[in-house]
Amino acid sequence: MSLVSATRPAHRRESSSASAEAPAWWATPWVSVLLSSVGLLIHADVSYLENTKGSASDALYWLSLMLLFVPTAWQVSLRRTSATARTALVVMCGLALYVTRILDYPTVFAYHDELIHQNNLRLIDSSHHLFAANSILPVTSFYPGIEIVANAVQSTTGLSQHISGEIVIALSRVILMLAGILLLSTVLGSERAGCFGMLVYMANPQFLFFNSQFSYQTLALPLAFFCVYLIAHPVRGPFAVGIGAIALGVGALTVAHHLTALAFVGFTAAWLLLTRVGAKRSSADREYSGAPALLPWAVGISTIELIAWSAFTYPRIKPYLVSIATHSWDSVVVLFNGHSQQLFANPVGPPTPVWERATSFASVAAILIALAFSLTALARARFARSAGMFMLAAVAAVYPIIPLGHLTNAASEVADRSSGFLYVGLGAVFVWWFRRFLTSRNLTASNRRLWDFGALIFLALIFLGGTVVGSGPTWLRTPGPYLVSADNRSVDRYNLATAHWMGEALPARAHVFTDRVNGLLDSTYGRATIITHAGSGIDMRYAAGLLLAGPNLPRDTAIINAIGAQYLVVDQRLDESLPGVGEYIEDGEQPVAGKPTPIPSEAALQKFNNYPGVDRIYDNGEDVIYTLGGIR
Amino acid sequence: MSVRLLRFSPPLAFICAVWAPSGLRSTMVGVGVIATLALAADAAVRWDRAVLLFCGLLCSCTILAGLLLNLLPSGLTRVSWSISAACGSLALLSRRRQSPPIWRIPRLNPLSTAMAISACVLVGAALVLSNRGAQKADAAPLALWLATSPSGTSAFALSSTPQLVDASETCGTSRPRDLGPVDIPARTQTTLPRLQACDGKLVVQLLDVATHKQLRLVSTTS
Repeated sequence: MSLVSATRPAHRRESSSASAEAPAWWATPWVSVLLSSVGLLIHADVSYLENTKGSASDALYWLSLMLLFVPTAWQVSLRRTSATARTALVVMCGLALYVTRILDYPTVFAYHDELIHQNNLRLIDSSHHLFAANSILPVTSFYPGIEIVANAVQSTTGLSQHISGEIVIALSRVILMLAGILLLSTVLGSERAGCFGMLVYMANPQFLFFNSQFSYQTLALPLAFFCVYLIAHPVRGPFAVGIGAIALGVGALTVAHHLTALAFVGFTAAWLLLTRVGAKRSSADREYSGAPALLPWAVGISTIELIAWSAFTYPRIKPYLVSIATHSWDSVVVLFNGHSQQLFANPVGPPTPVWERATSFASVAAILIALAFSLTALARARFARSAGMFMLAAVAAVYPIIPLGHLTNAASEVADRSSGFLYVGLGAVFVWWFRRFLTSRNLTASNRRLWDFGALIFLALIFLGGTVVGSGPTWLRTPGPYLVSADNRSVDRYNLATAHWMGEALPARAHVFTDRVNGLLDSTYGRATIITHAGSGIDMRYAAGLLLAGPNLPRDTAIINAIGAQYLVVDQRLDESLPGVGEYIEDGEQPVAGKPTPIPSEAALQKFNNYPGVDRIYDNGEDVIYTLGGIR
Repeated sequence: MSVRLLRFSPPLAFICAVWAPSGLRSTMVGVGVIATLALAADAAVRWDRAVLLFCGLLCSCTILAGLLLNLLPSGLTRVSWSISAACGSLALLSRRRQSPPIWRIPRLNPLSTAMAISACVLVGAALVLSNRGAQKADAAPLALWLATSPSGTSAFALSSTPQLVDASETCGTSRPRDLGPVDIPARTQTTLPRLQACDGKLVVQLLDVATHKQLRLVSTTS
């Protein structure tokens, strides 16, 4: 029994006309492969120009992405393309989009979450044990799924942490793409539809950026897809083998990421409930709405594993989740008070171009219209009574929270992250509706091609729009010149040199107080314990004065004693602008709640040169390290 | 070679990789993983399902193996991971009775072959290009630092490009003492001329040779 129904035929492999006539050379899958590789070369050129000249053409950037996506979508749409080629092309497209991230940062992890998890990986590598304290985000070391796999790759192959991490992300991407294609193929009844559904999925705002980072959700999401696949298509063999495989997959998922594991339990429980309700409502529908045999087991096992692991991680996970919930709720309250976040607001770097804003609005509008049509059609169809399809439709119906979530700052992050789940539903309902629409009309071959072309335009639009929404501010997409507290754009040669020097010259676990990006780098490469609110529970509004407020020796001495700082790293460029991500050090630093931190003065950044008992032990032109031992 | 003997090759590759030189290790492990997949594949299972099951179960087993290895005193090390990989591979392949399926490589016509080769070359060129850009951007800047040992305080400089700078030191309120021009070779840690003993605040500077503008400054209080 699959996700959908026993009465529906097993999914077909649509390559019927492949044998009839050989495609013209320009219609073979290899042309898509070649165009994708041209796209990658253009992307590499953009990255090279950004790194060496500080700017590159936006048009080239978008051209590179479209070359990766559109030819593949076009090839998938051709009826003569074989099922194997279709699946391989969609998997390749997912991998190629991920490779663009490697081309942007081929030597280091540069994003906030990536550096946190690389630090976990370093801690495992140095201590040979899990759960070592991560001073920046302690909860992450208690969900070490991606780090364990990366450590296995690193230990056995001798490759660097960065390359090992990239291998694990690529592996995750293969799992995600294959599980997605096979699940959607099962639900929709054809491989071609499954591949199309996955192309819709690839338009989700998180696909290109967030879900290709070295972060726990990057592995957890594919594992969740994989576990659903194991429920729908149990491993061949005795019943116990199928249950064992699910227990293994769900166990790994639970250890990999808290919220994804929770979402999986919720999804499978709702799926099971629906099948039970469906079976009660109509005996005729019992078979149609029936659950896979392993579903009840999966619900039970995943619930037990989630509770057991959460009990172990409770002291760490509770404050983290409470803080996310509080922030999201506060931002919703602010929204209801009439203060919404300004869309495309960007304190540093160039503003988002008008055409990109227009594209993102157009893509949201297109998705909402298509969603309305497809859900209406689905509600009228008997197919909607299939528990699996109903679940996917329900997931798709939640889509409006993504654009609405962008009205507030904290909720936008939560909404965006949910897109990794919601777009599976969108993929399923859009493709189901489109196929039904085509079959309900007696279209000629040329008309059918026209509609296929229209579908291609729709896919390209939502991919472009989703990528604009998911990329955030323009500077977040690619490397380029330094920007103040702007994650990847603040990871530059000065900050990297400081961190590497620290790793060689200072004792491990030295207590360091510094800004957000130097903190990430100094913990990862410098082996330092960074003093943060999340890690040490300090009052960041008070402690931030050490770095950001003007000279005041008694106050700064009191802060140093209170937080136990041994070293201070000052990036002297912090006074150039407001922070790109909204904070110089950590959330909570703002002197007035709800208002941005003011730009620190030059005097604030230079004050330690004149404090007695402070040694200035390192200087690379932009970063300075002070020892604070003599000031106590 | 019979299948029975062939199935011992992946575990052997994992074990031998422990002692292999670092350059060879990744190749041996890669071959071990691919050989395990090829030998464990079931002819009745299509390639996409086989790859998904293999990758998904590989990740899941690795995570749970990591949790178990964490309980050992030695923890997660190269040896413990290699032994785990060998055991896992052996357990998977020991259940096999029949010959592994023959994985057919699709036959390409000359045009498709040319396109496939071109695609590989382009991807290779893209990786080289982006690497060059990143290496240029990440070139380490000129850095100056102090290190204190029982024999006294020393100053060091490092840069990714060769630099010729002037150095000076100042002790307390006395006049700066010229340490002379310092030649800093690329990527080589350079020790500045020996610093004098100082009871007060010792300041060391690197200055531009032409303009005498301050480039770097470090200081320490005895």
